[in-house]
Amino acid sequence: MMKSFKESELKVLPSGDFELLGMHCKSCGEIIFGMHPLCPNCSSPDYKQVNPGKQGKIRNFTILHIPPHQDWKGPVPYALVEVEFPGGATTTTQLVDVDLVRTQIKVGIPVEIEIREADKTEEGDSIMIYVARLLA
Amino acid sequence: MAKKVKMRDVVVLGVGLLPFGRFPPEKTYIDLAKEAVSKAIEDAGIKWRDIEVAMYSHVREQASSAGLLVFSEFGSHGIPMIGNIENACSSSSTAVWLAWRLIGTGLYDIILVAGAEKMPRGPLTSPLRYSPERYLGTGVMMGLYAFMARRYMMEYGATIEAIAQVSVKNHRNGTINPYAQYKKVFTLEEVLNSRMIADPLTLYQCCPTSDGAAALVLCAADIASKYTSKPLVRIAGSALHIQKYSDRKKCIPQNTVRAAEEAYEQAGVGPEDVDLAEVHDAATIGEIVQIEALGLCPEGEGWKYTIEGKTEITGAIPVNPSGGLQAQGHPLGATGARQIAEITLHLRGEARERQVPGNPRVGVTECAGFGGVSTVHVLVREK
Repeated sequence: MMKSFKESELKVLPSGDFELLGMHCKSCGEIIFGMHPLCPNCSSPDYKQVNPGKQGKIRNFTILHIPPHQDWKGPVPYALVEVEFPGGATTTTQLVDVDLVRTQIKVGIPVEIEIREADKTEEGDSIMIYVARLLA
Repeated sequence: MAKKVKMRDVVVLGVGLLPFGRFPPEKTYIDLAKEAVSKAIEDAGIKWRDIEVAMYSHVREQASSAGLLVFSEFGSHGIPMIGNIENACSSSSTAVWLAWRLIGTGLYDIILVAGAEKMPRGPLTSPLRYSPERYLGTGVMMGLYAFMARRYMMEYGATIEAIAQVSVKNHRNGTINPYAQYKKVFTLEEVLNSRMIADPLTLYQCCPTSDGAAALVLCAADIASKYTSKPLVRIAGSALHIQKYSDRKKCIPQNTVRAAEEAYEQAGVGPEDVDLAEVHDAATIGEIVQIEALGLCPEGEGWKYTIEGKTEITGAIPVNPSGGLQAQGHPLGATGARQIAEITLHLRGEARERQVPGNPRVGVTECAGFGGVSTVHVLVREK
């Protein structure tokens, strides 16, 4: 079975598919990534849940050439991207499956979100996180 | 919004600085903090028992109520002591923000603020040990600064060479600061060619992790002359602001913009009156965006000011004469107090080789912290 590592941002469906979560504030009109108790922009409780979608474009990026901590099992170097979804919600995640030597990451190019296993629960369930990959 | 109340003037009566660096494990944070506190008390001309409140700041792992273990070495004479005031890199400047209000409103006359840190090597990351961020490698401080640098370059046409010049200047300043962790001159080529950390920021554009301590004695201005004959340096403005959600639309940190507006208004001065500044250059780009936020140069021109030499010790607006976090080092809990101590020395004319020339009268400190904190203090030498 798959579980979300951050249920306020990622919903993993029984089918194995997933949805990202966002909120559209009816008071200030802001579309915000993830679910929050109140609108982080205007503190209104009057919002509706929205789905930011699975595709966005790179708004900013960096390539880290150091492991971020001692327990790091991921690649070095690795890329981080700020992804902007249609409607304006943004999030930061890792850009995966990219050849950082041959590929020039650029602001504005499209990416697609997918989910990956980050860890397992004691019962053996997969704990899932979302990552980005370049749209071919 | 804070209510307007009549405030008494608050001065920096004493400063306690010691060199930042890397110390062996047996030299604990308690040893470092004790030394800084002893120096601040001596510089202030007070006795330990004159202190009415003692506050301590740290960020990383130390004992519970870490400050109490420091203060009890001097004796617990029944005063309130606070074991930790934590606000990320802005911790001890947050303690000063509180102390300024406790003295200003008349509740106390003399307050001690100390900060110390013993830091592990390696990058500074999001503190949550079990989180998606830990698996994704997001939340790395230098990654966030890299985003800031790229955005600044895109919005204002700045070059990485101009941003890297902050490191060249600050490391040069560090060579004449006896308290600096690094005393080595780097050329622009050496900065740009050092190991890449978070593209476009190279190793010598990222501040080190450090061990160190700093302490301040703050005092009501009207009794200060009882203790010292040194020039009195008043904390004329003190403000703490947090990044708003909507601030992400701007490249220049709006929390500092608002904190600076409040602190300048309290002080009755403007950015045009500022003679020197100590700002939060955890990465080179930090210094550039913060001097713009403080109004020390027009928006989008911090990088030009830097390459034109205007932020050098001898420039029009000297920034980080200490060497900043880049060369002085950055023991998180100590940095805010350290910046205020540095400005105090310059306004007293006691900064020796690194002294900003021209008998400076107004100095400003800006200390940023993870989570969107920015504290700004405006210091003014009494005539």
